[in-house]
Amino acid sequence: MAIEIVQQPAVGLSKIAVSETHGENSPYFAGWKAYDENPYHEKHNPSGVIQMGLAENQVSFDLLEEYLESNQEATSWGKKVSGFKENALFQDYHGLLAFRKAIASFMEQVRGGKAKFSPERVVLTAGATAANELLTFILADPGDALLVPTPYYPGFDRDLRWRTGVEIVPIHCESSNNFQITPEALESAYDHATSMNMKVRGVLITNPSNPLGATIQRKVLEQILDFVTRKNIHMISDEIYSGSVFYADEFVSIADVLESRNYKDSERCHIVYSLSKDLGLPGFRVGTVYSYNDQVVTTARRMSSFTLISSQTQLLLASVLSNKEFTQKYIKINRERLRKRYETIVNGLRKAGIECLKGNAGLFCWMNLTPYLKDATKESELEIWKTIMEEVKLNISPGSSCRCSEAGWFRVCFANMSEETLEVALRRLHEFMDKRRLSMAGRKGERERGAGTMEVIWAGAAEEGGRLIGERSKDRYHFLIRDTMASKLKQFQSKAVQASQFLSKHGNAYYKQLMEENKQYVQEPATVEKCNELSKKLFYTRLASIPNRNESFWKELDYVKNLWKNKKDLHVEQAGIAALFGVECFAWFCAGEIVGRGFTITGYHV
Amino acid sequence: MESSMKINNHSLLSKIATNNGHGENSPYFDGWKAYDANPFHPQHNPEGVIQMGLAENQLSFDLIQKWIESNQNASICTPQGASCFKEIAIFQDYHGLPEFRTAIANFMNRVRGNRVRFDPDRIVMSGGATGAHETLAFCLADPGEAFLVPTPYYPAFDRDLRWRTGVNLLPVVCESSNNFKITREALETAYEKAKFDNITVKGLLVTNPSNPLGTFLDRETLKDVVNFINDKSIHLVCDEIYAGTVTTGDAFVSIAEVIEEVPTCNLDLIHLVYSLSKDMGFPGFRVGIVYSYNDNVVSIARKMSSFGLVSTQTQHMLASMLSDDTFVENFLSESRIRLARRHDTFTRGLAQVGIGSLESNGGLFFWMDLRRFLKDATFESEMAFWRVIINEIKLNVSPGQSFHCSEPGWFRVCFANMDDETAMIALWRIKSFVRKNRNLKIKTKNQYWQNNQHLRLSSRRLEDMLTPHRMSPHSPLASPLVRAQN
Repeated sequence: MAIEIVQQPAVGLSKIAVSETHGENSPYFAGWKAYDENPYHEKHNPSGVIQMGLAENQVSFDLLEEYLESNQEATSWGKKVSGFKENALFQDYHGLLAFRKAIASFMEQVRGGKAKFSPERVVLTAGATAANELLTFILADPGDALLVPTPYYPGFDRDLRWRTGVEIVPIHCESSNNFQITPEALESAYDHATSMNMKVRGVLITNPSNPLGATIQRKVLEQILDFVTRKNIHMISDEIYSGSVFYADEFVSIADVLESRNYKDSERCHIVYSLSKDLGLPGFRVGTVYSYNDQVVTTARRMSSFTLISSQTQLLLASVLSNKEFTQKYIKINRERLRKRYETIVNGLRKAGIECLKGNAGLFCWMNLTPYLKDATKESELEIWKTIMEEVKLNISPGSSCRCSEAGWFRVCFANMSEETLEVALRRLHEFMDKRRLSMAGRKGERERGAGTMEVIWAGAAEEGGRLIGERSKDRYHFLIRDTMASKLKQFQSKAVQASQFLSKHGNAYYKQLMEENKQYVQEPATVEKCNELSKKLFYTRLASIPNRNESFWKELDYVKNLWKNKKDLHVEQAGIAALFGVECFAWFCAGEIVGRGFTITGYHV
Repeated sequence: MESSMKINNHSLLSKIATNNGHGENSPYFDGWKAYDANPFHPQHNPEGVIQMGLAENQLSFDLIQKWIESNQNASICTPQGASCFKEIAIFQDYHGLPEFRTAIANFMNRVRGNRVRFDPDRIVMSGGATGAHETLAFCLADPGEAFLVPTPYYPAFDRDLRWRTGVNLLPVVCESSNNFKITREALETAYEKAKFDNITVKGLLVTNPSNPLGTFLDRETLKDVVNFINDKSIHLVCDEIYAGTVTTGDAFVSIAEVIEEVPTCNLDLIHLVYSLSKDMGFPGFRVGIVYSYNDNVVSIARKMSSFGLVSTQTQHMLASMLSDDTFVENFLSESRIRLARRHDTFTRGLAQVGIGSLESNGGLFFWMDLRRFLKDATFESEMAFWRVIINEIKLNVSPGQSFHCSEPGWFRVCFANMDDETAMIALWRIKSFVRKNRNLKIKTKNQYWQNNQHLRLSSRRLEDMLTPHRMSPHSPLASPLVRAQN
């Protein structure tokens, strides 16, 4: 069937049908397609794409299987003829009471028993997808807005908007404070929505956050609750990863906050939960809306007719979840295993020179590739994402698909694969990063010729440059150089040595091609003196061009002047060259594109 | 439920949340509440209300149970099937398990006597027929646009198609005078009225076999319908969730057959809704199907199905069950026999006391004619008599007005959601009521209901029952008599 060939039918479909809000044309899904076409398999397709874009929890299946094996009778219809009949016929939208009780009790356990959940308020839906849509239908009219902190789960664009006609207005969160939601950001999002004539109906948070993999602090929850109360709007807390927090005491549910406020203002609060993540059962489509508002409970229940859970699955899970001994053990072991996985990936990435946001929950980490971006744009982010997909063969999710306001962040899932596959993925990334650095360093090195000499030059230049930058970095304009570069430069020396060694071994073919392409730039004879001379030429040319540039570059002049003042004679000049050269080398080392920076020093931290 | 401060929900919730679109204030649901408050139980509550408002199919569960016992590997919770647990539990592709789609297509073929072939790639899942209808409404129409629906129709369509979509339903008025046949005139009238009211009609929704009538459309009517929607260039949504309950089996004509016979039909306009809730009797499993001949609709409905997927545990079991051809054939034929028997028990029994019903061969219900019991031909009287049925006869049947029936006095009676014993008690209750009532009514001036014509009607019904499959469902059912009552 040729669904791909879209032929416009004679009579129109609805606006919803022809809209793009289902979001399947986003890069998020392109990565999935790449995976589908060439999926990794350790034996059959070891060079295939590894799926790291899927927040699936496969680490604790053995516990469930073990339970099922030892509880045959409880989990199926048993030997009774009536068992099947009764179950197949059960279509009350309240759901099986035993199942609602079991879910409520599981939610309490996950939250350490601090807050109580009443089975009367548990509304069942086919997955969190439907739960979020259902709440949106109930809380907002078409054209109204929900405020959602960025970065957020890409599916929200579909779940909250597509069929409801509701808009998402982003609450911009930034890396500078670890993407925390601030009162200022809330206000600013609210004002933005009002300025666009939208009625704000609520704030939706995911706690723990997807994609950040971090829980939200109690203080922040209090602030949000105060905010929604002040504005008289709703608060939806999507807590589908609450059982996937690595340390139980690091999670505070909105239910806990409400409990401590004696449920004052609780009617504006609604929790979304699901068993897809914490129990790893996405196929079973178990979602729930837990609202503290009676009318929302009643309406949500009525609406759940469109999206009920199979009674067969309710029966099975009622049995599994009402066994407290099992659930306690499961929650504990699952947390431990996820934590271990998280540590494996974060340490592995660190070894490859990649940092992640400090996380404590979820099935993914939030990877920072900002130092490796050509520039801080979405295009550069997608470029590096494409490279990782095509060359490293990893499907990860670019931050832009999560509407992250800063380029260069990626969500990397780690629980939907075996430990072995995770190791393969990390090895691939490690090799890729090495190669990337070395090929960049290699190009530079070969252009300068004389790999042996280069080791010395790089080492000295980097040391001197690093020192200078370190000194200079007391200035507030340059804190970023201090933070992100100076420390890197310290590692530079040994890396440079490695680079030269690698190059002398592997660089031949690449070298030849590179030299052929760039022969017009080559200076003969390529002595150390000549190289120094070229560096000086570059440095002074840059200095000379500064006054002609726009205002922002006066900072750079100021910077260079300062260097000038603080240093003496020829030594200063050399140091300046060294600084420039060191930083430049580092740029090559990381991003491989000195030209992309426009040869500016300040450009490095734009 | 603690809450210290009340906030004004009406200003805080959406219009959808605060309107009545869920339809639960209709009499249809009142009857359910009456049943819930005092449910019949043969031992514990023999005086309780018997539920005859629920279109459930309970007659053939023993067959399914037997199959399950001998096919332990179909469940992921048995030692035989547990090895699939992980694979099934994490499967979340909205296309559904391929074997599930194939099995559903196979089952749909067999229900229609293998005269049509359904393509598994066009099978889109949704949360029951409820979800399937809403999905199609979302795909086909914008808020304010409308679907035409022949009356009487399933009450929950008002919720399923309208509530969250903002779409309208406009009645195509069908009447008892021609056995509620859908005529071209009625369709044109409804279409013209919409045009006059400035409402864009986006489609026509027919249920075939009809709920509540229990009748199915003949080939000619279906062709008329197909021609009509092609002439107007509007969509046709054909709800065939009762296809497998047609007791005359092969006589049922699916839209899938008819469109092959109408070469000018634009297939992009044709969409089917199916479900396993009625034919198999699995409402709890929430298996609804959208089957569209329009590629765009298939693609969009599939994306939308994310909001109402079927549990993979259930998909896995049903894939196995419905691809067992021997089982399916045996089930379908045995189920038809049992449904026919139960249907006949009721309609013949009622005919004995002079209660007629619309001739029907499908569904899990029949359309009972109580017009002569009404004080006058108004919906108030219908409600008054319905209360008598609930409170005195202690049966929950559904009044015609909840189905938007244009004539008062008709009631839908479900017969397949109970065992034989309960069925006999229900029948006995009606009979004894009528006998008692006859004496009461004879003392009044109002004796018209007891005329000879009605005795003839009941004997006519009896004859029909003895040769159940001889007549077309649309054969005139004593139309002059019907008119005489009004």
